[in-house]
Amino acid sequence: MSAQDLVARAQKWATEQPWRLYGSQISILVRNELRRNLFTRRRIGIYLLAWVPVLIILTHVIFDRNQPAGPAQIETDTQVLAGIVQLYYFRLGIFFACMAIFTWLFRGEMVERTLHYQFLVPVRREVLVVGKFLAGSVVAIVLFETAVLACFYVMYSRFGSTGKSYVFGGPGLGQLGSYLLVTALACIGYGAVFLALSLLFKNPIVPGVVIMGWETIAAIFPDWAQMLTVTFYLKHLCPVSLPLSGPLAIFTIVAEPVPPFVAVLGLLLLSITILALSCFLIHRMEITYTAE
Amino acid sequence: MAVYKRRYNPYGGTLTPQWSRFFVLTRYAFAELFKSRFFVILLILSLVPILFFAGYIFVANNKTVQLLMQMRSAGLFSVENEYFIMIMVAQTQVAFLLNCWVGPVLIAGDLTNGALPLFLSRPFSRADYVLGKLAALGLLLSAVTWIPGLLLFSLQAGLARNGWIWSHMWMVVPIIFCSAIWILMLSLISLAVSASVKLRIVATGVIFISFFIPAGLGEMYNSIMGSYWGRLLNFTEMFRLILAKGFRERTGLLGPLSRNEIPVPAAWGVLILVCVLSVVILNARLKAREVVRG
Repeated sequence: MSAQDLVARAQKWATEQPWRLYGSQISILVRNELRRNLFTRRRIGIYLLAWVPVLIILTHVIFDRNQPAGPAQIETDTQVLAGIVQLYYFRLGIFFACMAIFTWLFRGEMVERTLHYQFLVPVRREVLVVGKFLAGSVVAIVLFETAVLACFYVMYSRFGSTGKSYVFGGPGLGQLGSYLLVTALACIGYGAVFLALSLLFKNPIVPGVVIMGWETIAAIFPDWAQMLTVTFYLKHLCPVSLPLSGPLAIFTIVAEPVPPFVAVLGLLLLSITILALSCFLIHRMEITYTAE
Repeated sequence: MAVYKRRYNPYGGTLTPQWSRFFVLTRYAFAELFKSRFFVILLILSLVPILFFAGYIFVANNKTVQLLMQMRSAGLFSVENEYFIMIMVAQTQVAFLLNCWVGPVLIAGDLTNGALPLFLSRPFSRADYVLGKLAALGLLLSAVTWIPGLLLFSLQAGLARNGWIWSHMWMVVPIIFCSAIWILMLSLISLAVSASVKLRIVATGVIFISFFIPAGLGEMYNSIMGSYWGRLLNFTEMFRLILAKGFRERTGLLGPLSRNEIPVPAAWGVLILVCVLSVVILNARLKAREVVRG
């Protein structure tokens, strides 16, 4: 079969699909998932994961309110904020929150013995995967974007007019934009990984921690291997470089710089590939409630 | 004999001595664990590093092998306290992974299926119940930490000359005690999580989170507040601090030596506090009744 035939078949397939129907099904799924999962008692741990840094910064603001708030202090606090976002949020907070949110999308339904309702409705399984993924992404992104925004606001609000000019007249606003973009991408990237893991393993937590180890040590591997990690793309988008030394330096090593748009596209491509794999895996899925 | 002629007869056989009744639970827990093929593979894999450590000790004490490998150089192969620290660090991490797999199911199953009242209606106290489950984890984690550690120590003592064993006998104490506090802490955290969270998938996640997230928060606290006490939340680092002190390590193998170091008694205090908190949670959760809401 020639390439032209393949393209023609792909085009025919694309025109035959009821995209409008898929779109409405996905939007209903997203709404349902959000209603069921956004504000529940089970999510308290995830809210804490996102908001504890804000509380610590708030404590810092209250205790150190009498300290001189000059440009040197702004520089120090910028580094601290970069450390919080790059070391805590990317490596721990978003990672574990995505682990909790995205593995629960299907495993949770399995545990609560409600997955068969989803499988019995006339919705393609791929649509189910995409809908649940989008719902999980919305939850994670909303939660962590607001947390990062709050961290940024609390960190610079204590500097008064100096802080205002740093944010609106200096590099502050650009840094905030980068942090928000990177946070959203981290949620999408980790989300896709954990969704696939939850479809691949009965208990995806242990493989998830293996992924965490891989994300940590991948910096010492060749470029092509690093491209299979989420943090590889995030590191290139971080606006402030951390002066880390010792073993912690492994978190910030960038072997070969990549342009920001390539990093964004690369991460989105990786996420879409993993999501496509999830769509393939969902077809193999069988409901065995007794084994849970 | 016809059924209607049967009457109730109390058990007339020999009773298990009271002091060892907890071991019945341990025995059944092990039987259940070894049914899982994945667990057996995990256990075998967790003992593989020991073979490499033993191989190193053999090479370090065999000049012929060193000559054959053309690696004869003074100080290249040395089996001193740093080497045993490496063994301990590697094996305690292996123990952590093993614990994460085994721990979440130990109590959760009994709670989910309402089996706890059945256990506690027998001459069997709550302490016996916890001890039985703790012994299952303790024995399992011992098999990958201090027992291989002592075996490697014995191997080195047997192969080395010039009275190595007598000059290094003190290392037996840190091998046992450091492993013991780590095993106790891991086991109690797992049991507390298992008693609080009934779903295995969630329990495994909570155990991981309880080690990684406090460490991250502690580091964050340090950088924001300009302190170093946040490291108290990093249980792994506290354990390494105890390990370094126990093995008289002064070369900075387990991290740079600085003046801003957490005192070792504080490190012990944190690990013991975690154990006490876990016991409090177990005490609250393990009741011979369950309130069903709804």
